[in-house]
Amino acid sequence: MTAILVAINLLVVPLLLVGVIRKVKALMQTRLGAPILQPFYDIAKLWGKTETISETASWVFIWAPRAGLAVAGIAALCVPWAGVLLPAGWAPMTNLLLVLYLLALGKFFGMLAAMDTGSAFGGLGASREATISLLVEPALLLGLSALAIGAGSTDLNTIYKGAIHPLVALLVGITLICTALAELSRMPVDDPTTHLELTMVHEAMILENSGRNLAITEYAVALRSCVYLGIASQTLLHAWPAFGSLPLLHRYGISLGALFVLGIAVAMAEGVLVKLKWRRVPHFLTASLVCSLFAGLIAVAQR
Amino acid sequence: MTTTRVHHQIETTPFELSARTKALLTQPGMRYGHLTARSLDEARVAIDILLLDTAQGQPLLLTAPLEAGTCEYPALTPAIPAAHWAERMLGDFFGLHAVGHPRWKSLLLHDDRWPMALCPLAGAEQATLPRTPYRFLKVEGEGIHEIPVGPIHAGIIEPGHFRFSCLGEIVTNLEIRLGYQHRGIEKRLTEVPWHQSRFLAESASSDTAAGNALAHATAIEQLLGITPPSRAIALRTLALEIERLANHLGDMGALCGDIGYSPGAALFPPLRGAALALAQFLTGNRRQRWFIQPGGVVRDLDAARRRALLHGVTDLAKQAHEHLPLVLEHSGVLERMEGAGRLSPALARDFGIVGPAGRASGTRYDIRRHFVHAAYPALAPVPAHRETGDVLARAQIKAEEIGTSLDILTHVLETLPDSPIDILLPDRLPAHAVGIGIVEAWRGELIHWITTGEAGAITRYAIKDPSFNNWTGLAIAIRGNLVADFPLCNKSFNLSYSGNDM
Repeated sequence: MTAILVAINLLVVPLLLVGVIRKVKALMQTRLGAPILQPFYDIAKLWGKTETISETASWVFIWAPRAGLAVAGIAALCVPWAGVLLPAGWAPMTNLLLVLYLLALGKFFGMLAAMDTGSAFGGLGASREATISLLVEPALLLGLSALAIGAGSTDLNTIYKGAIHPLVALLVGITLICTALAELSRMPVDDPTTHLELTMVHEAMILENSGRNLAITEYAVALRSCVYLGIASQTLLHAWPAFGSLPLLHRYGISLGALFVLGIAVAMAEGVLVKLKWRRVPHFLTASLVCSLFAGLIAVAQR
Repeated sequence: MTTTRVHHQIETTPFELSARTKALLTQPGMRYGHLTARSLDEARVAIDILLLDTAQGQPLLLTAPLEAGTCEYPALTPAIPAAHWAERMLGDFFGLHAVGHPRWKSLLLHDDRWPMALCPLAGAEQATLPRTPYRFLKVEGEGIHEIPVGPIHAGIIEPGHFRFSCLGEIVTNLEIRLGYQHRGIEKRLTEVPWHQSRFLAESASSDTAAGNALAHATAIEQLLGITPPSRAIALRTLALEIERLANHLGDMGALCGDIGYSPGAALFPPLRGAALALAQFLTGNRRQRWFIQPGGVVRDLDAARRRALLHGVTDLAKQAHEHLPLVLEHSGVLERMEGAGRLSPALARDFGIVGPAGRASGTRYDIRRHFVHAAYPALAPVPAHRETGDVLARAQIKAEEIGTSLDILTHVLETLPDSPIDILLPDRLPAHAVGIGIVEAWRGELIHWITTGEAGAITRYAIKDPSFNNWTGLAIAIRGNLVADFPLCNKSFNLSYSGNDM
């Protein structure tokens, strides 16, 4: 059973989430929007296309996105982001520090590929992505540490087995959502729908990607979206003490529901937010750092 | 209303030109308008300067013939910075050399596209100098990197190349390279029969078709010494203001799009569409082409359509006044726009920035108050005015002008005079005369400057689009700003490529 659910998690949910976010955003703007399944069609279309590769690019440009996808896949497999806990034998793989830096490694590969093409935009995007990562890391690490302090373990399976103190869950949930917006290059940090290269973060990095290379990159982003938003929704759900002891399928259903609710919330926020001035991004992320700091304090006090 | 064809013309020498112009510009209300040249015969060329006496509402011409065999003259740019592109244009099109120009290089004709010795507007026996090869200004220093953008851009816009020299995320210099749209309109306008030239003149920049057609018609009417009937004047006013309205509304939506504010980006395009529908109602097509002609307009507005148009304007006014605060009072929008792309009033004055961008930087200059065109200056509104010169100021000016345009439209529709809509034109233009049409198009000061020679043939047709002044303003405004703010700043100017490249 677990195997089937994990397969659904890895193959179906990520692109579906992307499709739902886009649809809601379109509806918010009184547009009909593309079908919810459009991201699947896009991946299939890109898979069959010829790639255009910059003359200045090396093998790094070809292989870095693949490595990025592999790393994102491992992270998505290990993190119990949809309420499906892995068997106890997987324990070293579900350590939160490992998962965190697996995600960071994925970003590193993305930056490598971006800088390899020699396009000015790739370098610009990579530099911005690195800046954001730098600002996100302390908030994310501190937030997850607060959960670890509460559970007495850095193993995510253990953390998401028991209940989390509601206040800690709320504060860490806010931290995770804010950092997810930054890490996933969504509003108010980055506008995923813009065509203006000079304002882009993530999109500037993948301007040179096409065909399979682009499909792989897009898929990795969808997986990462699930991991980030999934951890956030799991954290919030575990504020409900009985959640951990529900039957697997119930937990799975509620988790997916929460994930999509969060996705819809992100889309609705994008519908009304204005993109922050680049200089103001650190302020936004500092707010989430403060939330995680308080969560840590409360977790320590609770022990 | 009177039209006049007698311009005050001062003859001088190339060596005195700079000092004379500078002295005249110290007179109150005197503005630099344009600088160009004109072939006197196959061997001789004269430099022409157009000054605008806003106090009198009269243009003033300075002419400095160059001696045969010379193609050099002392540059005006050191004294009058606003002339810096115009002088480089003389280098491209007449093979002249402005000695002492601080940034001497070609402007519009690209090295790899056009022979270096080509001087399309020079006389056959005129002395010329080949173009100086183009070099981008190189900014050097630790950590400086260059970002080339364009000429092909994402999105459906015209081609132009932007070369940013950045220190990290901060722009230290922006060099704008245009000319990709050069079609030789000015030369062609001297070749086509004058009574058909309006079709070409109004496509100088098609998003300003009404403005260009009106400037053309005003210049031709001035040459002929005729005044169009009052109803035609009113209908032209409608066309000009609908064009301003549609473009400003479009700009508000585009500004929102650039900062990712989707409600604004979703609300304004339909309003722009509604304004374009008014244009179609008035002229028969959304871009208002083939409507304004010398002597009047081609299409009348009957009573039923006048009422429908008035209804449309009222409806649009209601929606615009509802939607504008959603943008200009939104804290997130204000934060992005405030202080971004600041152009100081002093620099705006020195470089002669016109239109909404000029008024946002402290200039109280609106052609509608000073020069005769359409129903102006009789109906001229009080110019919108800001001193801050940032993106927000430019957006606020456009928002205010949306309001005044709607008021003017309502007023004109309610008081539409009864008369024919055009008058018959003579067969030929007067010989050796000058006609200058100056119009406040939606981007600002638009000039069509026509000179005739023997038998009334047009020997020189110069067009000065407001973008020709304002591109420099954009390059200055972005200095010291975040490179990520460039698209927003660019949109707040929203300049024409084709109007500039001619």
